[in-house]
Amino acid sequence: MRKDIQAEQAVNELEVKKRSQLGYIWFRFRKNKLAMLGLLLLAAMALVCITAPLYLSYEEDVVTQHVMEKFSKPFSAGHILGTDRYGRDMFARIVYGGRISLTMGFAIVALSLLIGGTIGAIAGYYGGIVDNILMRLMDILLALPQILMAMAIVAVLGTDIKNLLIAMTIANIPKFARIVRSAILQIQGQEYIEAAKACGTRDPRTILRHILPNAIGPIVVQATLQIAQSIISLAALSFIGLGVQSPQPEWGTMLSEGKQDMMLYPFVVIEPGIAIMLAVLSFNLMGDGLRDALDPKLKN
Amino acid sequence: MDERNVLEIKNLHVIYETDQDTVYAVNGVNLTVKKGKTLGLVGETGAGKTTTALSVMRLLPKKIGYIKEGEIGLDGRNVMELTEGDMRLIRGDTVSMIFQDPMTSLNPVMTVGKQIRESLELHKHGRSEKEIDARVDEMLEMVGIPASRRNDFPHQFSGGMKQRVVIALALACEPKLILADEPTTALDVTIQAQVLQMMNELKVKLNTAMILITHDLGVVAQTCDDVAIMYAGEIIESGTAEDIYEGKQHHPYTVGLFGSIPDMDSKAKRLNPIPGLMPDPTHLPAGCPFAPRCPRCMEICKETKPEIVHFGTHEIKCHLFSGDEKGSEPV
Repeated sequence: MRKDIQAEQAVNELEVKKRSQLGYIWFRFRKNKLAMLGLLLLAAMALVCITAPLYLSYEEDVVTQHVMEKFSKPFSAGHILGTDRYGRDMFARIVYGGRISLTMGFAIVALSLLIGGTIGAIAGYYGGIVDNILMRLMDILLALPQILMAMAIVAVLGTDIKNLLIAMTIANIPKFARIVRSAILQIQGQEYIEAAKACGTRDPRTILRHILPNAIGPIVVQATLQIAQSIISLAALSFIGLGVQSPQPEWGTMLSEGKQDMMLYPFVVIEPGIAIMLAVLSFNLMGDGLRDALDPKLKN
Repeated sequence: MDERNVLEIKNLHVIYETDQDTVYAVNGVNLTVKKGKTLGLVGETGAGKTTTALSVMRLLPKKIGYIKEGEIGLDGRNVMELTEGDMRLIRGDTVSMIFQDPMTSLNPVMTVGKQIRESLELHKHGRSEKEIDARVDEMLEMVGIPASRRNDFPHQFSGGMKQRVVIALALACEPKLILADEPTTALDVTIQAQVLQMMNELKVKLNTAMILITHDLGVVAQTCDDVAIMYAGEIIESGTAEDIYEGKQHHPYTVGLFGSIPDMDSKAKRLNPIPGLMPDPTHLPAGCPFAPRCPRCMEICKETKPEIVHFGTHEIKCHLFSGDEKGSEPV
């Protein structure tokens, strides 16, 4: 009997050894309660948003006006979050708004991380004149406030989701270029990079396999914070009328529409506000947890 | 290039150019390493030992370090004429390097197995994935680390074990030459002895030649076949280990180096250092670089550079012996 237990333990230990790197990251992430809360919130929101077409009709619930039912209180029959001044269901609008906000947040950060990160990596790794030219270009972009620049680009290209994506991506590129560059500069001087070169690794491989994994912490944190920031910026652009156009719902647009009624029916602004806050908060919590989980030195 | 040599460096000059100054780091170094033998490169900090090793790998800091002059023959090929692509194939394969500090020379976010594997993947020589995996395990076992620990990260190893991993990494492709840059400096003395012994055994087993860079004469005595003593970017004395440890004639700097080792028998209360510091490598003296600190300095030393004086295998670069040249050392 005892032998069986020992054998079982040995097998268990072996399995622990065999756990893949992704497994380790998940293992460490799971221990962080706040990060898990963020992830669960986010997963819940994503699930609700992705499956929305299954239980809501965009035409019927989101854009069609039902004047008879305007300003229904939250938790009233059929409208769990109430209705706005045109009698549209708040819950349906928030869910459909989330589809845009969350997707845009991801898309903006993914694109700007890809472009900005590449620029930063090249600038940091090769240094000298390449670095100077690329980073001065980034400085020019940085000289304008992000939201102002996005406004200018949208004003030129016209307000539509695609242009909004382009504008916000351009506005975010320099941030990622800077953060990746500084990470590369910091890690490039380390002896293990020299050791990697002494093994005969090529430049791209050195950057991708040796430098970036060591810099992933700050980059991931910045990326998740930036998703949150992008959601806010998007809401802000929509709020001032340059983002998503009514009647298409978006959290910022909803805030903007609701502001005329907020004295009498505060829930029309509080609800999209809470949606923004929850999304931003959960991204931030998750970012912190990811940073800790990605650092193998904090293992165990 | 002589068939029996794996490395021949001739008249190597390396400079570091910064905006303010030009540092003359290596000035006319001649070195040969015979196949399967160990050369100890000794000298104090800043003498140009590491720079010489980095020149062989052609890994001098970009845009600052330049090889101004000289020839480096590595395993029958001229390193100076190779393209960067060819050089990359040589690094880690024909010649590999063991760095000074095992704490910083392993990538902290990669498992040790992956790091050893990487070098093997870069220099495949037709090995299959399975053979590479087997080789990783074999290398770990060879340096005394259980193969089951291949999926551990560097921070889970002790300093001595990390250095073994570094050694396993350097030996993985069975290089013809290893440049060991102070491989034991960061380790404590007992571990130092273990690591040195292991390196010696592996070197014999794999018939690898090695340049052992160190400032520890005790380490050299234990491990090296030949010794070269470096000062201010020049080799001021070289020969077989016997020439250096047993020979009667020495460069005054070598005498000073040996004199500064604490002696168990004498009752000295203080160590006997060589007075003064190494000359500023941006403004080297016109004559012998050691002249300002030399207890036996003559007028000629301050003005003209000494020539190499040969005593058989023993070479000394000092005016004291000019004209004494003989077939073998006087007894």
